[in-house]
Amino acid sequence: MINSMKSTIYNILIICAVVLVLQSCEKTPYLDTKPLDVLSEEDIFSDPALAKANVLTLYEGLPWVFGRPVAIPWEAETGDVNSNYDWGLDIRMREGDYDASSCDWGPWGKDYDYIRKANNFLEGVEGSEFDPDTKKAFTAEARALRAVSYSSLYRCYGQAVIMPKALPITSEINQTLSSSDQVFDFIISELTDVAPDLPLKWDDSNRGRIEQGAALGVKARILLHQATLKNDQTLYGQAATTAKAVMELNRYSLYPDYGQMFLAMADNEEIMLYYQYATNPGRHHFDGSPWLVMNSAQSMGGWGGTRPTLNLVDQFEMTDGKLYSESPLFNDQDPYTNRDPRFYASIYYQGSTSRGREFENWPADEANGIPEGKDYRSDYGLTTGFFIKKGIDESIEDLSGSESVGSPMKQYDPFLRYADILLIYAEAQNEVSGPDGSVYDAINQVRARAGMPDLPAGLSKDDMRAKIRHERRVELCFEESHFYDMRRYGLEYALSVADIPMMKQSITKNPDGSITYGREIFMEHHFNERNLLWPIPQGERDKNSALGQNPGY
Amino acid sequence: MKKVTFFMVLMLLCCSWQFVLAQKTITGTVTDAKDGSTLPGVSIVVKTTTTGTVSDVSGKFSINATANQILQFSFVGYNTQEVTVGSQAVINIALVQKSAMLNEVVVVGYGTQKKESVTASVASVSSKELSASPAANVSNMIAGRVTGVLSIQDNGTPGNDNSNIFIRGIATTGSTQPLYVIDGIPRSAIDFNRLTPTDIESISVLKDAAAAAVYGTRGANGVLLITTKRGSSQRASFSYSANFGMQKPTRLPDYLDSYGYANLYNEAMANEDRPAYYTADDLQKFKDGSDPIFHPNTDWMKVLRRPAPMQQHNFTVSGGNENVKYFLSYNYLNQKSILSNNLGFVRHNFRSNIDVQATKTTKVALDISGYLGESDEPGGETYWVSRNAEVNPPTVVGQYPNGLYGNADMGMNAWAIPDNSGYRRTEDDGVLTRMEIKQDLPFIKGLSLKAIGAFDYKPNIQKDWVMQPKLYNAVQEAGGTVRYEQVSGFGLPTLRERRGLSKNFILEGQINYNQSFGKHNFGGLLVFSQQQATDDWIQASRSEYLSPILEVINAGGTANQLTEGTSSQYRRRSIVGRIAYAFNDRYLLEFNSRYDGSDLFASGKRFGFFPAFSAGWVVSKEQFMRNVTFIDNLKLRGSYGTLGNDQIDAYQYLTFYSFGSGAAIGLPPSSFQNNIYLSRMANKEVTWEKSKKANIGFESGFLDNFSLEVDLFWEKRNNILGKRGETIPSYFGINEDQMPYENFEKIDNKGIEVTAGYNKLFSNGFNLQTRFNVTSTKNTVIDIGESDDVPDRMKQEGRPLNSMFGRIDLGLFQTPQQITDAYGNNYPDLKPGDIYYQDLNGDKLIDDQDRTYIGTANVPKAMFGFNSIMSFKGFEFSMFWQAAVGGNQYISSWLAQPFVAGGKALKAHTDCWRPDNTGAKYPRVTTQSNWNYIEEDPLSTFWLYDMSYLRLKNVEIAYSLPKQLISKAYMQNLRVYFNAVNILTFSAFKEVDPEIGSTYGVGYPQSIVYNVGFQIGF
Repeated sequence: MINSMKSTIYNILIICAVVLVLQSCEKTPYLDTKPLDVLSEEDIFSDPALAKANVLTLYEGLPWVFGRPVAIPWEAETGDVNSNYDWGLDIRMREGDYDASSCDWGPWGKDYDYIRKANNFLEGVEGSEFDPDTKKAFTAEARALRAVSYSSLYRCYGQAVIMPKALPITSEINQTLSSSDQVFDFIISELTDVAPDLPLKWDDSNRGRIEQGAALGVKARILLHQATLKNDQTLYGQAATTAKAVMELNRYSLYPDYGQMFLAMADNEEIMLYYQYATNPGRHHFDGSPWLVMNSAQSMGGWGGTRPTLNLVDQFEMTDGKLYSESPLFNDQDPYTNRDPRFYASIYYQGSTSRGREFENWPADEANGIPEGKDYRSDYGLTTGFFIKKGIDESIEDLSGSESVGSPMKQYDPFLRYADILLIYAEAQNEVSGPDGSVYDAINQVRARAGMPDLPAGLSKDDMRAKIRHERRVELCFEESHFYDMRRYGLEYALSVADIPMMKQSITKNPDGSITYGREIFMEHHFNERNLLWPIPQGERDKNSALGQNPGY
Repeated sequence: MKKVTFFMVLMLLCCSWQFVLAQKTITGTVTDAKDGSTLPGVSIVVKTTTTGTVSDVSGKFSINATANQILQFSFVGYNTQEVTVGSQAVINIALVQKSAMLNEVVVVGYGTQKKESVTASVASVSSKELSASPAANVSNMIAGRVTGVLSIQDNGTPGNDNSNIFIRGIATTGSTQPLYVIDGIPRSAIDFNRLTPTDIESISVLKDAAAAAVYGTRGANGVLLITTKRGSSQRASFSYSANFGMQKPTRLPDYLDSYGYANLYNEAMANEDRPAYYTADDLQKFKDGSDPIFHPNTDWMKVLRRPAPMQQHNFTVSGGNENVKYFLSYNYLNQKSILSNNLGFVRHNFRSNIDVQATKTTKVALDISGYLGESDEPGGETYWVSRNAEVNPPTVVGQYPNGLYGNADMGMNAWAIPDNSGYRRTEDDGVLTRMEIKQDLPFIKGLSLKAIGAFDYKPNIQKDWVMQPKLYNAVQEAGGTVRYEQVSGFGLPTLRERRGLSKNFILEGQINYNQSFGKHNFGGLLVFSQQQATDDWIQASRSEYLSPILEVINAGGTANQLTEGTSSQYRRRSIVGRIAYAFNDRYLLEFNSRYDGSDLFASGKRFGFFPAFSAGWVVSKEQFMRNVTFIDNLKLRGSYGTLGNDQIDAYQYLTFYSFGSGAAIGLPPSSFQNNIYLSRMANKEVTWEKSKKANIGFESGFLDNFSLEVDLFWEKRNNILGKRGETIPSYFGINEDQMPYENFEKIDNKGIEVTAGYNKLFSNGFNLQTRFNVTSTKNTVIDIGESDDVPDRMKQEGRPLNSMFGRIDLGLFQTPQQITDAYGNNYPDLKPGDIYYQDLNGDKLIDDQDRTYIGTANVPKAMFGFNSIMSFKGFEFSMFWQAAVGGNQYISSWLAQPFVAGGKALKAHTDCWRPDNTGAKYPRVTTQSNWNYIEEDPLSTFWLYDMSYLRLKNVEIAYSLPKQLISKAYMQNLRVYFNAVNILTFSAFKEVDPEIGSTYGVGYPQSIVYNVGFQIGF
C-alpha cells in the first residue's frame, strides 16, 4: 500500500513536470517565432547587405521610356511620333480627347507604389542600428529616388498627394492633393537636402545607383520646368546654378559617338541615371526591353511599332546648320543627304541600311507591277516612311529570342544624361543673362559632339531660346523630352506643334527603279488646353471623392 | 423502393401470426434481444387481469392464459412487449432495451459524455455504420450520415477523392476546413482521409459553440473528432475481411459519333449561310466506318470508361485481460484508376492501440498508427486526360488501325496520355504516435491527472516524370499507300521531384474531476496544451534526360536544373477549461472555454479567450411527465458562445520581403545583384475570424422506437480576412499584391437540422434501424468591402456567398419580330433560335448593365440523408440515400454549346432550335461561339443548372452464416456481402455528375463501385 502510494506520488510528479516543461525551458517565449521562409522588416534592417538589396528594388521605380507598355513614347502626344498599333492609348493621345477614365497610361499608380517602398525603406533604416554613415547614405539614396518619383508625378499631373510617411493601411485614407507648387517645393527641398550625402561617383559594382550629380540634375530639370511655367527669373537662376553645379562636378562628359551612346554600355560617362532592365516578369510588357522588338522594323524581325513623323524629321538640320527649307543643300528628291548626323543615328529611312540591307518603304504599284517594299508592310498599318533607329542594337538578330528578351541590359534607357544638363544650363542661363558665352559654349558642346557646326554668333535672347528648344527636340528625340518640354513651354507652343497634321514622306517606286519623294498629310493630330496636364485617374476619385481634379477634366 | 416494401410486408406478416385457443399453461424463457442472455425478474402479466408472475433466475416463467389473451412482459430499462397467446404453449421472448440513446456515450472534446447529459450540439456516427461497407476514403462516408454536415465530392481520382466537408455550411470567404482531431490530437485532413474505416470506433461532429469552444481559434468551422478502436478484456479475437470492387464513372457526357457530329456541323454551317463542310462522301464514310484512317469515329470518352478494380484487405487482432488491452490492425487498399491498370492508389495502414493498467491507479496507453499512400497519375496529370478527351471531336483519329496514336488536332491525344506520358507519383506517408499516462488521485475521489505526448512524422514525395507521347499523322501517298509520320513526342523526359516533411508535436497535461454529491453532479476539466508543427519541402528538377530508363535526378541534364525549397513552422499554446454541473440529472449547466494563443499573430494579439455556455433540461425526468407515457425522453438544450478560425497565413503582422530576380546594377554590361522587394505590407492588427454561435434544440425519444432531434442555429462571423482592393486609392502606394488582408468581412449563417429515427428490434429477431436527417443552411454576405458604386443587382453583400452574376434568359427567340421588339435593330445578326436575354435597363442593348444576380455556386444549401438497415436471421439489407439541394453550376464549353473552339457536340445538342423544332432545349447551332454562348463571359441563366441530386449512395445485402455452422470451423462469425455505391443518381442535369467541380465537366468523375466481400472472425 505504501509502495503504491509512493508510485502514485511519483507519477503525479512526472505529470506535473510535463506541464511545467510546457511553460519553461526556453530562452525566448514559446510563441515568439519568426518566419522561416520569408524575410521580414526586422531581418532586412538588421543587415546592411539585405538593406542594400532592398534599396536596389527602388530603381525599378525610375521612369522609363524604352520600356513603356507597347513601347510608344509619350512623344506621341506631341506629334513627333505615331504608333501603328491603334490599341487605344495612341489614338487617344493623337486625338487629345481622353478624359479621367480613358487616360489610363500615366504613372500614377507606379510612382506611388515606389514612393511607399521608399517610405518603408526609410522607416526601416531609421529604426535600424546601422552606423550613422550607413544610415545617412541609405536615407539620402531613398529620399532622392522618392523625389524622382514625385518629379514624374509633378511633370505628368502637376498636383499630387504628398506622402512623406508610409501610412498604415488602417489609417485615414482620404488624403487630398497638394498643388503642383507644393509638390515642386517638396521635390526641390528633398533633393537639396540629400544631394550632398550622395556619393559623387559609385564604384564600378554599384554603377547605376543615384549620385550627387544625378540628384542635382533632376533638381535642375524640375527647377527649369517650374521656372518656365511661372516665367520666374529667380527659378531660372536657380536652374542655371544647379545645372552649372553638375557641370562643375567634372564627373560627366558627352560620349564621343552619338549613335552608340545608348548601346555603348562601358566607358559611358554621359548617362547619369537610367532605368535598369532586368528579368523580372511582369515588370514590363516583355522581360527585357520591349523597345527592341516592338520598335525594330518588321524587316528586321521587329514590330515596327512607333513611326517618327515627317514633322520630327524636318527638325533635323542640314549639315550647314540650316533647316531643310532654308538650306541650299536640300534636294526634295534626295531628302536624306547632308542631314544632321543625329538623323542617321536616330531614324531608319528609305534607302538607309541595316545589317547590310537597304530599307524599302514604298507601297505596291500594281498598275506597274511593282510589289510593295519589304519594309512597307501594309498589313502592319500605315507608315510615315520612317522607323526608329535610336536605341536599336542591330547586332541582335533574334529580337524576341533569349539574347534580347529576358537578358540584362542591352542598351541604356536614359532618364537623365549630360547633354540634357548642358541644354538645361543653356536654356536657363539664356533667360537670366541672355546668350552669353557660357550659353553658346554649352549648346555648341552638344552640337559639336553630334558633328554639327556651332550656332551663329550674335543671336538675340529670343532667337537663342528658339534654337535651344529646337536643339532639345532633335538631340533628345524619342526620350520623351519634347513631351515634357511642350507642357512647360505652354499652350501656344503646344498648339503650334501638336494641333497640326502629322506629315509623312510619300515614297513612290518608279518602273525605272528610281524613287519619287513627296510630302503628304499622314494623320490629323489634336491638342487641347487641358492636355497640358493629365487627369487624376477616375478610379482614384471614385475611391476618394474629395481628391480633386486637374482643370478641364 | 420495391425492396423496402417487400421487407415491410414480411415484417407485418411475422407480427400478425396469431390464433385463438382455450386456456392452458404457457412456459418460456425471457432473454435480452441484444446478446441473448436470460433476464430474471421480468414481470409477466395477463393483460386486463391480475394474474401475473416473474421470471426466475434463469429467465424462465410459467403462466396460465387462454388463447385469445395477451401476455404483457415488462422490465426496467426494456420496452414492454405484448404477445397474444394463440396456439403457442411455449413463448420465448426477447426483450429489447429501451431506446439505446439513453446509455449511449458520446465523444466530446477532451473527454466523453453520456448522450443524456450532453448540452451541446454533437452528432456522431458509429463504427457499425462506417465499417459495414468500407469506402476507400473516410471523408466520403460522412455526408448524409451525420446531421449538420454538407459535403461535395468533386473529384474521383484514386487517392485524391476526398469530399470537401462543410460543417453547418459555409460562413467565411477564408478556409472552410473543419478541425480534425484524431484520438484527441489535432491532426490534418490527410491523416483523416487516410484512415481505415474499420479502425474507427466513432466520429463525433462538434457543431455549436458549446461543443467546439474547447478548440477555441480552430473551432469556428466545426470539429470532427475521430476515435479509433481499442482492445477490451476479452480473449483474443482475430478477424480478416476482404473486399473486391469494380469501379466505373457515375456519368460521362454523351457525345455524338462522327456521323452525327458531321451532320450537326453541316447544319451549323448552313445556319451561318456557309456551304456544308462535310461532303456526302464524308458522311457516308463516317456512317459506315469504311475509312478508319481518314474518316474515323473516335469515342474519346472511352478512356474514362474502363472498368477499374479495387480491393481492400483488413486484418485485426484485439483482446486483452485486466491489465493489458490491445487492438492491432493492418489494412491494404489497392484502387486502380479507370485510366489505366498502371495507375491508381495503393495504401497500407497499420495501427496498434495498447492500454496498460500499470498500477491500481495508473493507466498508460501507447498508440502508434501509420499510413503509406502512393497514388500514380499520368505524367500530364489526370486532369489532362479528361480535358483532352473532351476537346477533340470524334472525327479526329485516336489510334490508327496499326496501333499508333493519332495527332489530336486540339491539345493532346487523351488516349495516349495515361500510359505514355510518364507519371505523377504522390506518396503521403505518416507515422502518428500518442502516449498517455493517466493517474487517479486516490486521496481525492474523482480527481485524475493525465499527461499526453503525441508526435507525428509525415514525409511526402511527389515525383513528376513527364514525357510527351509519340503521336503520328497519316499521310496519303500517291498510289494509295499510307505513310505515318511522327509529329510529336520527340522531346526528352523531365523530372521534378519534391520531398516534404511535416512534423507535429503535442504535449498536454490534464486535470479531470468528476464527482457526485447526492443530487449534485460536478465535472471539471483543465488542460494545458502546446503544439508545434513544422513543414518543409525541397524540390529539384532537371530536364533533357537522355533516356527514360533511369528516373532519378542525377541522370538528367544539368542545363536547366532547378532547386527550390521552403520551410515553415507553427506553434500554439492553450488552456482549456470545462465546468459542468447537473442537478438531479434534470438541470444541466456547462461552461466550456479555451484560452488560445498562437504565433500566427503579433505579440500582444496572440491570445484569445473563447467561452461558451450551454444548458439543458431533461424534461422527461420531471414528475409531471410521469404520466406522459408516450414520451420516453425529452431534453431541451441551448448554447451560446464565441469561436475563432485562424486558418490564415502566418505572420501577417510582419512586412514581408521577397527576393526579386535581380537588379541590373554595376558597370555595364552588368550582372544581376540580389534585390529584395516588399512583397506584403504588414497588418499589425491582424487577428482570427470571430464567430458568435447560438444553438437551441431538443432531443426526444417516444413511443419506444422513435427518436427526433431538432436544432436551430445562428452564426455571425466577423473579422474575416479580406482585401480592401476596391476602396484603397492607389496613392496609398499599395498594389493588390502587397496589400495585407484585414479583418473586416462579415457573413451571417443560419440553419436547421432535423434527425428522425425509428429503431425497432422485433421479438422475432427482425431488426429495423432507420434514420432520416436534413441539414439546411443559409448564409448572407454582410460586408466584403464592396465599393458603394456596385449597383444593387451586382452586389454580393446582402446575398449568399459565391453569388453568380450574369444575364437572364427569357427562352429562345421564335420570330424576327421578337428580336426587333426586344433590341430594335442593334443586333442584325440575331436570328430566331438565339437566346432571348432580358434587357434589364431597356436600352435595347445587352451589355454589362444587363447582368444581375442569377444564383449561387455549387455548394448545396441543404442535404438529406436516409439510412435504413434491416436484419433478420443473419440476413442484412441496408441502403443509404443522399440528396443535396440548391447548388447551381454554370456549364461551359462543349457541355453548353457544340463546336466551341472546334470541339465536340453532345447527343443532346441535336435538340437544337430549328423552324420545325421550336421547343428545342438548345439554341440554333453555329460553328463559332457567339451571342448564345460568349466564351469569355458565359454566365447566363440559360447555361446555369440546378445541381440538386438524389443519390442511392450505398446499398448492401449481407448474410452472416449461423454460428453453430461456422463454430465447427472455429470461426466466430462469417459475413458475406454485396454492395453497390452510387448506383442511382437523379438530377436535372444529365450530362455529368452533379457534384462535378468544373464548369465543363472535366476531371476524374465520381465512381459507381460494385463490391463483394466477406468478413471472418476467429
